[in-house]
Amino acid sequence: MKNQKEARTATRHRVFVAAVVLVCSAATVMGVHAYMGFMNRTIYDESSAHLTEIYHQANQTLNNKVSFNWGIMQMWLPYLEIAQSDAEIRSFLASAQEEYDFTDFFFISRDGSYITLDGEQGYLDLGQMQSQLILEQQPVVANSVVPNNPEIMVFAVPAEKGSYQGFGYEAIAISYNNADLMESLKISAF
Amino acid sequence: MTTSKISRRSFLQASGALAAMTTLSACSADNDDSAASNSNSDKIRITFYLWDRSMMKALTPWLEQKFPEYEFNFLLGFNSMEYYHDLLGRAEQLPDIITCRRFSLNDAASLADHLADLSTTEVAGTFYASYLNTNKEPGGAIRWLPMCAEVDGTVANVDLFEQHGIPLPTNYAEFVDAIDAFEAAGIKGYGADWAYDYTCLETMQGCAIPELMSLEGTAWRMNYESEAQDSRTGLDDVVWPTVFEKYEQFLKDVRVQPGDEKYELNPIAKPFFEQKTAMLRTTASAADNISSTYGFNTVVLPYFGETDKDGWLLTYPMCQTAVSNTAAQDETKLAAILRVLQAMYSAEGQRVLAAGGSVLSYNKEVDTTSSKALEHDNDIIAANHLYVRLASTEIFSISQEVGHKMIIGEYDAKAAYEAFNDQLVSPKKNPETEVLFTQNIAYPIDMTEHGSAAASSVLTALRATYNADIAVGYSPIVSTSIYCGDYTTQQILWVMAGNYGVTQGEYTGAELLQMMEWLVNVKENGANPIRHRSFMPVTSGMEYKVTEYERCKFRLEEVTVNGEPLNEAATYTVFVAGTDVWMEDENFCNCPMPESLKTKRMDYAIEGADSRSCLKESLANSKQFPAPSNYLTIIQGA
Repeated sequence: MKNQKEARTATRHRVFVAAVVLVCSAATVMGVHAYMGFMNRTIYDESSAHLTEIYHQANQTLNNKVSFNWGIMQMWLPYLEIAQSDAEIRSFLASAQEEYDFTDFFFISRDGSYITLDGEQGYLDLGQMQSQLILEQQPVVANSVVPNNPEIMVFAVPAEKGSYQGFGYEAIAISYNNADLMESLKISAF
Repeated sequence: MTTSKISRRSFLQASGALAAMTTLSACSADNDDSAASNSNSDKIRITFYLWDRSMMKALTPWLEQKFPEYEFNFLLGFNSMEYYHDLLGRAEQLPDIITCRRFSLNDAASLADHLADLSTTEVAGTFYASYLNTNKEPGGAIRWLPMCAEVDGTVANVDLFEQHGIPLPTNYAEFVDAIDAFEAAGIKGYGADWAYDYTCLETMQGCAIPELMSLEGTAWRMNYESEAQDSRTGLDDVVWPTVFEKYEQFLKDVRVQPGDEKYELNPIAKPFFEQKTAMLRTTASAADNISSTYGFNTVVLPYFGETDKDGWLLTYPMCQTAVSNTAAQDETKLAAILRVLQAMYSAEGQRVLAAGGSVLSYNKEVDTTSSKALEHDNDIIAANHLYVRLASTEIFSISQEVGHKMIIGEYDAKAAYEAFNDQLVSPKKNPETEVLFTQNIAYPIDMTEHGSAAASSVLTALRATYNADIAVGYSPIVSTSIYCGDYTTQQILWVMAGNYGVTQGEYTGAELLQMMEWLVNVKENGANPIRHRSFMPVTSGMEYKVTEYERCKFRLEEVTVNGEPLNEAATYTVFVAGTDVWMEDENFCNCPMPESLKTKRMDYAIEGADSRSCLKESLANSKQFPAPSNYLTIIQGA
């Protein structure tokens, strides 16, 4: 009788211990889970806030860059109109390139063809921006690419009709490849 | 004592359990993805529609090898947005991955709601943004990714130019002079396969690229490609009249004659291979193959302008790829599909798809495939004088019709312009879109252990054309399931994957057995005639049993007719449909047909018929796809 009572007590004790252990385990797992969730959320929030901040800064810097580039090109236009020779134009723009670190300068025709200061010709695909540049006479910025070359960012402004090395143009543009653009942004912003 | 003993044991057990649970909990938190994927022991199935057989040269085996964890179902579809639109209408959802070469934004607009936006995916990030922008919808979504570009132009036999002391042309006037000089020497100056719609389209646009790339030309194209589904944009009256004037002059200059509009590829390619033609309209990929196969040097000439700086190459993506919206809803499947796309658009993937041909890539860090023939055009490529053809379905068909009428002299430039414009604004009703019959029973395309019901039905319909005892079909036979509902002629043809040569004649049972062994058994050199399970041979009036001893490797066990073993001495009338190139070419199955069968294949050719004409004729009579049969039994074993 006594043994039976002791056995029942022992069983009850075992059940109690097991229950306590289970509750503790569950609490621990839930705690770990909640902590990990909290950590994930914190890391996510902080990272996204950081990225958003970087994005806003980059966006602001790029906006400044766009306005700045359009502004300086518009300042060059009167000079291009009165320049006496192609050599003068080349010399003027070569020194501008040294000062402002752009990758290339383009004279752009109505249909999107270009000539560089060195006389290289080709087609600059500005997509829908071409019509905005020529027909609506608006400054534009666009990505463009020539096969097997790094992608470039093109800043262009409309110009009075002119001619360079016999090539008729209606707009001028400067371009930056990624490396030059990063370098340029770093100088201005960081 | 007892209490402390139990307590200690309990503590140890609890500690163990806690440690295990904590470990498991930590693992599951860290590896949610792997747990999810491991929980599904079945392979992820990806249905992949191919616009053309050429995608199966190297790409499909490469993908299967690269992704053994996925179960690909490659199906040969059609090069048309209408085909996918029809598929959508019948099956209610698109295959997981679809591809199409003939592409324009206005044609693709009707599928937009059913395709995933890929603009924020990693694979989209591998493209040069300016190339991808051409596929961008006004809302910013990008649903189609362009594969590397084919380059189309004029392939010139350089050796022939040198032999006759004729300089390679650098502008249009010199191009015409060269043609005249060759013609004077008794050699055809220029050849083109004028029968095809793409040749008419490409030469028509190619001879006037500067006009089409002008501000007015590009503005018209943007309007045309963004037209609403219920509106029609006609040709403009500034650019296009000049296009037709230049095309009229081009046709005269390359000395096109009435009757040339019937020329398909072989009759014009053969004299070029035999060095009896100096220049041929084709692609840069073909130029390299011609050089290596026929042993003379070639270069790709551009579409010339007035000066040597005005030349342009006409290009187009090898295909465009899109992902079904339905598939994209399943995160695991979408991840798998994006991995496949990432591989396809990698440098290696593009090289595999190009299968040695010369292409230009739209992706960063993927160099142009090197090519001797294209080196001649390095200056043109560097100048970015690359025109992407305007390739809507209607532009293809109208270019062909109007181009042919210009060739036979029915239209001058003005009449051609007006006819082209009329058809754009008021499209003619296509007789192939009239309903022929209503199908009452559906037959799925799914490949089971007893074959595909749709394939069986199609082959039985073909067998009925000339009342053959038995029909055998090889190469991919069907493209879609057969659905209940209306069928037009066009829709009937979309059920069958492509068009095949057809033959009918007497074969002995022994010859039939030889044919089936050729179509099923892996050859001594390891060549496997069954590249993908869905492309197993189809029979009608005859059944066969195979053992799959390795994945996709089969051994023919038995051939029966109406359940009885094939009588090798008996004679049967057999209808055969298939593409020999698919079986024989080393780029595909690499299983040459036994000589004895080859002779019969040639002797029994049905003149003026092909699988399409047979299917149309058969269904015009029966007005119903016939009931399928269990023509195949697959046994798994060693």
